[in-house]
Amino acid sequence: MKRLLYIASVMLAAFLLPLNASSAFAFRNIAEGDKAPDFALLSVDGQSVSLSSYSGKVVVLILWSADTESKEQRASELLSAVQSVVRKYGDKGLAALSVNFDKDGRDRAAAIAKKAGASFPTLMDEQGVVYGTYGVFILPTVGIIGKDGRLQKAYGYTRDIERMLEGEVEVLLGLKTKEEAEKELIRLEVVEKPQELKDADRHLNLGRVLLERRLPDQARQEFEKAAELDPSNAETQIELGLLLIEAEKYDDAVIRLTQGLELDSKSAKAHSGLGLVYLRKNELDKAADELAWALEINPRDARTYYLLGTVHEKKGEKEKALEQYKKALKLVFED
Amino acid sequence: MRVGRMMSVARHITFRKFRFQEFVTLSLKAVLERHEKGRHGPGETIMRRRVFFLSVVACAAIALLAGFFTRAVGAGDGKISIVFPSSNVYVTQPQIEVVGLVKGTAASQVRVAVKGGRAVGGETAPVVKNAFACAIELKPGINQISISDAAGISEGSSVSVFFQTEGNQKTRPAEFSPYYLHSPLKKRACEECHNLGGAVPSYKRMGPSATCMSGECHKTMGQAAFVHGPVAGGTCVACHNPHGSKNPYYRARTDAQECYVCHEKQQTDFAKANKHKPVANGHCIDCHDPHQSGTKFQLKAASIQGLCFNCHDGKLIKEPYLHGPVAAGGCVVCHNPHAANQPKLLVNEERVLCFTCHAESKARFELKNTHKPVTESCLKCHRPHGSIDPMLLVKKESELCLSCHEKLHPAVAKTIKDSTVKHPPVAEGKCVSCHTPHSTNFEKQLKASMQTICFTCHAEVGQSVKTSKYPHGPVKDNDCYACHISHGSNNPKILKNYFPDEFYTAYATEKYAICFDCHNKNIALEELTTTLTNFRNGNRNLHFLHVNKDPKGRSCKACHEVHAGNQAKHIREEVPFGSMWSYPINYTKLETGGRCLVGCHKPKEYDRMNPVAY
Repeated sequence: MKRLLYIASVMLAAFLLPLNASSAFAFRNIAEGDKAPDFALLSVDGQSVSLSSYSGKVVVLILWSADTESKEQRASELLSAVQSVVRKYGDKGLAALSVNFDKDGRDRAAAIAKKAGASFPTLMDEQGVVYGTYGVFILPTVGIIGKDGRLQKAYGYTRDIERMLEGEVEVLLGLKTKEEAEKELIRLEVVEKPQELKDADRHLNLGRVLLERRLPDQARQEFEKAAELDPSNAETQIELGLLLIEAEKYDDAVIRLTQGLELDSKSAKAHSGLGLVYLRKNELDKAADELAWALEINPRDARTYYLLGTVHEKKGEKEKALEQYKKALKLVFED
Repeated sequence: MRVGRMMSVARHITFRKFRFQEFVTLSLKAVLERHEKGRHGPGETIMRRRVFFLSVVACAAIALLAGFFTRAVGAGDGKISIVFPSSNVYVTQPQIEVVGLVKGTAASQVRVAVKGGRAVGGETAPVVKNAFACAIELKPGINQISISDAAGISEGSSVSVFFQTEGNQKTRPAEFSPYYLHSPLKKRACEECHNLGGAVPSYKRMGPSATCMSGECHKTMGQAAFVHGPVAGGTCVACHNPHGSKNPYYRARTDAQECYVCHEKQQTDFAKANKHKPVANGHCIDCHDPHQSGTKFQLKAASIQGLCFNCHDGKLIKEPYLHGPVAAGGCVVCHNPHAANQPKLLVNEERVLCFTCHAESKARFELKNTHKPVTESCLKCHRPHGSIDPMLLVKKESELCLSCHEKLHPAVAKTIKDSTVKHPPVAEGKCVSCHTPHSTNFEKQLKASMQTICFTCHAEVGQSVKTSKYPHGPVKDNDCYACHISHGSNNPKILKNYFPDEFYTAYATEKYAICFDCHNKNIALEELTTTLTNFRNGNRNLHFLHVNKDPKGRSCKACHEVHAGNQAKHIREEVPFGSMWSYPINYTKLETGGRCLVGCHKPKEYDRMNPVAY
């Protein structure tokens, strides 16, 4: 049963990156939902740009610095990520602005933004006006401002920033619901099965191949290994049971097939196998019962009809035997 | 399939004028015996019965036609036929026997004419019990031997025999084949196989009870656990000519052609791009004993693997780690022993083949990011038979990964090689502790999210993060790399940069480089500020106050937890004091400032708007 649960979980578990998975809100002075304070700064090209000129749009605001190697690298990655989101949704009402805080860093900031492919304005805040007003305390920080001018989210850098931003933007632009966007952020983690269960599966499969290659003795050894590693696998027990019938070890076969049925009561193969054992042992009533169970589960198995026919024939019930043989033949011809 | 094969044998024998019914009887008996022993599944048997019935009818029809045909041929008056040798054969002995039958005439002798050599017994030979025999002395080169009715009534017969002494065979014309004579004939011992004792001599083979195996000559045949059908049926003539033939062991045909007479289906099955060499050469008997064996499929070895290693190198199975099918002795699980369309005689395309057994792994190969070798071949990293390394790797794990990644990611390779503090899985060469070699939904071929991976070993940190109210930003954002270099570094705790371990340390900005990778590096440089931090009393920078001192500057982690804490700003709940004590910190965030109750000093408040006077 435990094993079935593993199969049911398809070995994958969800790793969810909820859209509100940011660190503690990335600004000291503004809370989520507050109106984003307006500012006007000169861009690296010398143009004056104000936040309010983007009114009515969803704005991604990148606040960055490149005073350490790491900050520069992360800022570059963030600028590229934002650029790729802007490229996707720029014509759907998305804009972006970046604000650099490095003193005397105008040329450097321009070069970094250019290298990252940023098509949006890069503004210089050498005096730290925006820095202080917003209360930035990690760099880079990215804030997302809604069409109403309110700050909706603010994050520090993470490797998943592009996917998270994209999700947020899609929600704010009304392209997706929050639930839809979050669903897309789900990433499936493989949950490894315990090694014994993995090995057991491999032995079971190898046994089946060996059986196909007409090597039942080797197949049996593989099934035995699989059963030892994972005694709770019904298929293994049943395969073993069926091979034991061929080896004329009827008592062992009954043990395995019965165990298989305890694990999977709906196995027609196991019932049919038990039917064959009892037929060989000349316990005809028990054989008839098992075969009837098998046919109730799978009414399209010619072999089981044939066995049932044989049971009736042995009991002297010729009419019934004939009826079962006919059914078997019909299925054989249909196939 | 087996019944089909029997039909083929039957046809074969019938046209060679042997008693078909005898074989059918034996074959039927064999099938019924097998059925009785329950060697086939009952389902199979139903179908077999149906096919079997049809085969019996067909066989009977063939037998009737054959009988009619035989009678028609024998109906003419007088015919001499040479039983052996065949025509166009070459021999290396200077004298041979020519034996034949005389039918439809009461002639008491036949005329023997030899062009080239000479008849040892003169120009005639006596006819005894409808048969004649004469010795011919051969001359090197072609000898034309003609036997005719001395009375000139019957139709004669002739053969050409090329004689050349041993070692001088190169001169023989191509159309002459060697001739192999069954030993009873060398002795003119016809009665060993034919009933010549009655009033009318019979040159038909003795009945089914008297077979090649019933006498002394071949009595060991048919005794092993696995016996070839014709042997079991006593019909050696299915494959051998009982008098002699141009083929070794008096076989009727050469090599595989003999086998394909009955095993027709195999001939079709073997018509594939790649053939196992013995199959390509038609040497079925390199692997299968044509008569009997103690091993299934009449193999010429005690096991399949034993057979393969007759030619292939057996060191494959001596490695400490063996692939499952190899360990099980099942070479045929992956390789077709006869022919296949795949290279290396693989039974299927590589990936399909591997997933036959490794079905449970399939989901792990189909995720978003796939390791490139996976898209190419499993054999890029794994050996198919055995290895000295676990997981059947072609090299030791770390060497294997670096064999490509040293070029692909030289910086990472350098870190792994040169860093003084190595992440233990890296030091142990266990790349797969964190990365999956197959496929994943995560970047960098990571098995799972950063936190899932890190907290697998660093469970204590994981637990504290999970149960704390205020995680440090990068921790919550699944960004362990913000501070740690996962492969290794030159700093304790594989930190990106140096961080002081002490509680008190003289301030220097570079000591906190790791913090300033995200935070503002001026935070503790300016005594007065209104923008750098909210931890200020009016414009007095309290970070400056606590940290920027010499020698008793406090390190960042004196007050802040590095991973997560239960107080705002992930402020610690206690700080160490000496080596034995710790002081509690009780921090309360207020609207424009905060309050700190600590063992360090009396309770203090700060206020950004209305500075507290201390």
